[in-house]
Amino acid sequence: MKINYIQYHNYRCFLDAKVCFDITDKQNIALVLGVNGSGKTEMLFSFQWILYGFDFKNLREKDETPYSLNSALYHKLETEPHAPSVDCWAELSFTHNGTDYFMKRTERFMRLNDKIKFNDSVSLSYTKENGERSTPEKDKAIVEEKLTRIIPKSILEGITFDGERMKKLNIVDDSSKKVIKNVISLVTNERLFELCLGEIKDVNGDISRERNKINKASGNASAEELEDEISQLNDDIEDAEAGIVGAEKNLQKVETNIIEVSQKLAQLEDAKQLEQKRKGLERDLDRAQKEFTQGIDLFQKRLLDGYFLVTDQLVDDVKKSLESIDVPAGLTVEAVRSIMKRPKCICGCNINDDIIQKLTTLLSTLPPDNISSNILYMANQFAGEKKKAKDLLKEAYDSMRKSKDEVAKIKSELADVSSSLVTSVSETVRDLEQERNKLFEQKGRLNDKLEKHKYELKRYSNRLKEANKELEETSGNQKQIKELMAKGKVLDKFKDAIKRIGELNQSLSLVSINEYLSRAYSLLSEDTGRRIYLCQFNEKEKYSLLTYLQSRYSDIRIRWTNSGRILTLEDDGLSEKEIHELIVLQVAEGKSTGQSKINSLAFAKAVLEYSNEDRSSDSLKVSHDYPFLIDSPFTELSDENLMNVAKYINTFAGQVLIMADDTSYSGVEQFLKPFVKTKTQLIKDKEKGISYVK
Amino acid sequence: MNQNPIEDVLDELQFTETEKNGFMKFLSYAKTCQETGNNQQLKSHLEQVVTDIVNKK
Repeated sequence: MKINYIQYHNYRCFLDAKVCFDITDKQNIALVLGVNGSGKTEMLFSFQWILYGFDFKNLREKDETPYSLNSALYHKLETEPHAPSVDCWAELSFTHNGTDYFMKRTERFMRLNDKIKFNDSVSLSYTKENGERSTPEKDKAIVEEKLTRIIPKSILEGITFDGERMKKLNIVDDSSKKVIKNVISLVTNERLFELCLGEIKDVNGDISRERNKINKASGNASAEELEDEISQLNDDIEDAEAGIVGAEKNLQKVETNIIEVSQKLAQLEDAKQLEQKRKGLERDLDRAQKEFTQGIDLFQKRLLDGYFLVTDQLVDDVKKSLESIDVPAGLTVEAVRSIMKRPKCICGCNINDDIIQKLTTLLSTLPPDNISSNILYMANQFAGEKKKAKDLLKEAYDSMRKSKDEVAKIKSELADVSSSLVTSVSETVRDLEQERNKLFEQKGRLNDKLEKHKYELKRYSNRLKEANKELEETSGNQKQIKELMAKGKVLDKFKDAIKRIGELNQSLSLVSINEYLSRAYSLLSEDTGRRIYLCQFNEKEKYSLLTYLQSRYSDIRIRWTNSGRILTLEDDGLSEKEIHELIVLQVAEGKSTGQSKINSLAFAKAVLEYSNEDRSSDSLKVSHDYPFLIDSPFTELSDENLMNVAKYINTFAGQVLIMADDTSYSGVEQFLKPFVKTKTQLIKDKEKGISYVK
Repeated sequence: MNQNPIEDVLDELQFTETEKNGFMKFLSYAKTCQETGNNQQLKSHLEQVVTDIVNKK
């Protein structure tokens, strides 16, 4: 996608203006220069307004003008009772896949019953092959749907950066995670999987209805009942899945609120010490609970091992059987074979065929030599194993009990801290603690709910499998039913595959984005000792953009390697990437550092590079060529960081639109100049509050 | 995606060669529909793919 021009009429500070953003392959930067307040940020957000509409309340320091119309014209409408209606519009022209598009948004402002109202309309047209413009599409839903395929709203938000947004993206909180999640879900093309699953569900529904019709016609009541049950189970499964998503979402919200309240408490003098103690206890509780869970698992495992070694009865039986075998001492297989080889028996009689046959029969009835000692040896071994299993089980039980006691002890200490806070002299502290206790209760309820939904999902899924099998048996040999059942099975397989591939696609995409992110960060950042990471495995921290010191990371890795923890984690089935993330989470810097702008820029570069990858041979994702729009990229940066950004900003995307103030640009002009194709100067008429384009 | 993880998933789910071909055909058509914004034929395409698989069985 390439942006060609933007044109305004009565829009904010632009009365009538047009700015072109021509670029070439080698000169891919379109520059808009202007002093502070000349309309650079206004221009940046006008892209969003034209394409998807924009809430002007989001603009900093513009609370008094939360509308698209130029403020002087708006005030005229406010003050003049008979002022005529006035139009405000802006048009954006862009090229996508070789076609030129023209998107125009118009808002007509009028005075109605002494209040200012407006109607908005959109129009999207394109240049046809014969060079003519198409009839404009004016249906808002269709226009939005078409635009979403070219540049989705979340992506537009993800590649449009002003100073505020940069800061927000880098703060580890829910909103930044949401922004990142939306961008990632779009660049990883999650919609494709939703689309496929929707169609599969649709066809499955048709098949089920068809089967029902046939069963009804043939009077197969049990099959009919099963069909109803299957349909209900499918709905129940969907509900349980939605319940899990909802509970997890709410849980995340409650956890964020708990963190916020805790942060507030930690800042209050009366609660500071108790909060510190509480934090320590919470860490201990987390550890003790993990140990307790591990203890339960180990206990269960050893209990099972022991169960398979319940050999008392077996050993006794074997011993008794051995005692009951009535074989005279010395009558062994070897002794009989030796007699059979002799010409005469020890009693003097000849060994004839008859005797050979009798001895052969005897041989087949004899137990193998050494059987007694072998079985006895085995029985003793079993007894030894049993003792060992008993000892191990006791050890696991003791460790589990110890962790359980520790958990109870820490919980009681936490309750003490909470009571001290609830009875604090400070009212604020008391209120906050009560609020937090309520949140904890809510968290507990949500966790129960989550577990319930998970249990239900498992139960319904198992029953669905059984019901499908029963239906197959009940439906008999009807050819049509058999064919429909076979189709249903294929669709179920497709559904499983889509779900699995969707998850895999996302995790592999996150791995790739992380690689791009690391490369972008080392290219832009002067801080060679610091690294960046986008969380991808830990459910709670997923999509957090974290930075950490490499030296601290290495220390922890060495410590974990020496203590055998890495090996244990590997034994638990964790991949190298998951272990890496665990260590990163240990050493991640909580607060945003002076590098915040570099972090956000590295993220933008990574996402753009990932989205713009060639995907001609990819069966899941589509290649995009999103431009990069940024306001004031050079402010708040200094030294090498500034130089690196200036040097490499042209590599962010095929087209880079930069809004910058004249002073900051002059500091980096030497790096940017070779890549700048168009330069537009914004000039502000302070008295009239209007910006002109030069 | 790395190497061919789709193939790995399909193998794990014990897809036959016919099922694999049908699935990939459906996925590729869905991607085209997504790019063009025209999903109207996707359902009938899926029905056809599934019918072909069942008939081949």
